[in-house]
Amino acid sequence: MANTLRPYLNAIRGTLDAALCLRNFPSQTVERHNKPEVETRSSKELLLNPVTICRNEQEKCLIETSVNSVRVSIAVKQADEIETILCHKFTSFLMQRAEQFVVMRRKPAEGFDISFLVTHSHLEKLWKHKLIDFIIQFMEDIDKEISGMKIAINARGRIIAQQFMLQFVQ
Amino acid sequence: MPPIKHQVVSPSAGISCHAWNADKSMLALCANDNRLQIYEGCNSPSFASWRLAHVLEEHDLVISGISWSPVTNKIVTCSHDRNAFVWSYDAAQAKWNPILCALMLTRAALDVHWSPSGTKFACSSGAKTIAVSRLDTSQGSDWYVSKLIKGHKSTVQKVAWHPNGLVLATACTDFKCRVVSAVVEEVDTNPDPRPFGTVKPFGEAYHQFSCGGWVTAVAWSPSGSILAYAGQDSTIHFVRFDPSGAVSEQSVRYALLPVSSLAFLSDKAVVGGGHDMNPLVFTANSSGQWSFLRRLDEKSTGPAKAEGAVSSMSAARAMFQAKTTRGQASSGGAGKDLWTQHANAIVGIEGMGRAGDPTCSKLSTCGLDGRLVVWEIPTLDIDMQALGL
Repeated sequence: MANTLRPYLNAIRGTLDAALCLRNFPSQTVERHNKPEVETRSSKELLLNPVTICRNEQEKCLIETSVNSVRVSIAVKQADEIETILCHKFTSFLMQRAEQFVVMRRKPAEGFDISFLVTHSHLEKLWKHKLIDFIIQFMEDIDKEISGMKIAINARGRIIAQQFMLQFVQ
Repeated sequence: MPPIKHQVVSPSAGISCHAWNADKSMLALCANDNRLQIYEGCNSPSFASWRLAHVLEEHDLVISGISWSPVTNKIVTCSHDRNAFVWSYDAAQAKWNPILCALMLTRAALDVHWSPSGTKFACSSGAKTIAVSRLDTSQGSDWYVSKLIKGHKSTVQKVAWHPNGLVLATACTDFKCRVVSAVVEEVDTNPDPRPFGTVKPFGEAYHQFSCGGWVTAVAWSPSGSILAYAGQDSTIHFVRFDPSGAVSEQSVRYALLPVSSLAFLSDKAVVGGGHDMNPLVFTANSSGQWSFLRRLDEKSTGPAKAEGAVSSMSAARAMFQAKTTRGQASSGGAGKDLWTQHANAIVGIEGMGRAGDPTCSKLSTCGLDGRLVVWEIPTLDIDMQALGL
C-alpha cells in the first residue's frame, strides 16, 4: 500500500508547487476588497481548471486554483463504518479549531472531508515549501491517525468483551 | 562573487514594489503596507550605511506600484485604495510633497509607470482600464488629470511604455497582451510613431497578442523593436516590430515556475523574475531566435561539499533538531532548504543601468521575503557576449 501512497503524495506535491503561484489580486467587482477568487467566483477568467488526483475511489484530492488563492480538498479513506465515524469526528474536531491551522477551512468542500484555503497573504507570511510539506504531512498523518484509532477501538472492544465474558466463566 | 543581498524589511512583511532614482543612490520601496519608504546612500554595498530618510503616509491601502522619473525626479505611487500620488521633492524644506491625481479609477490601481519623458504616467487597474495622467496647468491649477484607456476584458496587471513614449503595452488577465496608443496631444507635441507607422488616436489598439494563461508581465527592449510578455503558463513571448512594419512573434516555453516581472538587459537579453525565486535569463541568437539561457544564480557546489563533511554525530544532532523544530525527521522532496537568494517569490525587477546607456548590466529584484538583491551581471560568471553587453 505504501508504494501507491508515495506517487499519490508526490503528484499532489508537484501540483501544489505549480498551483501556488499566486499574486496579490484585489477584487475587480467590489472596490477596496481583496477576496479569494476561488471562493467568490466572481469572474470566470480568474479561475483555472480544477485538478483531481485520485489514489482510489475513496481517497482523492481536489486542487482548485485561482489568481490569488488555492483550495485543496481532501477525501480520506473510509473502508467501513467505524472509519467513517472516526474520520467525521476527527475532521470536525480539527475544523472547529481551524484558525490555529492558519490555512484550514471551517467547512469542507462538497463531497470532501477536509479543505484548506491558501491565499496570497498566507504565502507572504509562510514559506511555500513548508506549507506544501504541511499539507502532505497532514495527509500522511490523518490516515495513520485514523487507522491507529481504529486499532485502539478494536483492542479496547476485545478487552471489554473479555472482561464481560469473564463473569460467565467459573 | 555572489549578488548583494539586503534584508530591507522583515521577511514576514515582504516588499511589494521598489524604484530607484536617476543615479541609483536613493531607493523608494513599499513594505507591503500603505507607507512609502525612501532610503538614501543606497550606492553603498553595505545595508548598514543606508539611511531611511523619509516615510510617506498618504495612501490607505497597500502601495502596488512605484515609479521614479529620472528626468523630473518625481515619484508616482499607486495603491489598492484607487488613488495615485505624485511626490515632488522640496529641497528647501527637505520633504516630499504629495499631489493627489484624479485617476477616475473605480477599482484598485495595480501598476504605474512614468513615460520616458516624465510628462505623463500610466496607471493600470482592476477596473479593466488604464489611466494616463498628465499635469494640467491650463487654468492656473496644479494637478494631474487623466484619460482612460478601455477595451480590456479583465484586470490589467502591468503596463510598459514604449521608448517613444506614445505606445503602451499592457498585461491583462483576459489572456491577452495589447499594444495601445497613449498619445496625449497636450504633452506629445511632436509625436514620432516609429516603428508603428502612424500615430493612432488615444486608446486605440495597434496589436493584440494571445497567451495560454494570464499575462503577468510586459517589457519593451531598449530600442523599442522587441516586446516581451510573460504568461502564467510558464511561457514568454517575443514580438519583433521591424521598421518595415512586419510583426513576427515567437513563444518560448520553459520548465520552471512562471515569472511575474520582466526587464531587458539589452536588445538580445531579457531577465524575468517570479515564482521560481531566481531570475531567469532569456537570450536571442544571431538570427533573432529567443531561448532560455539559464537561471541568473546557479547553485554553487563549493559550500555544499564542505557541509557534506560533517561527522555522523552532528548529522544525528541535526536530525533530532529538525524533529523538535519542525516536528518531522526530514523534510524530503521539495522541502530541502532553499539555496536561492530570495526565499519567496520575486515581485519586481528594476534595471539599474547608467543614465544615457540603453543597455544595463546591473539590476535589482525585490521579493515577498523582504529582500532586495542587487545583481551585477558581469560578476555572475555568465557569457556577456550572449547577453549583448
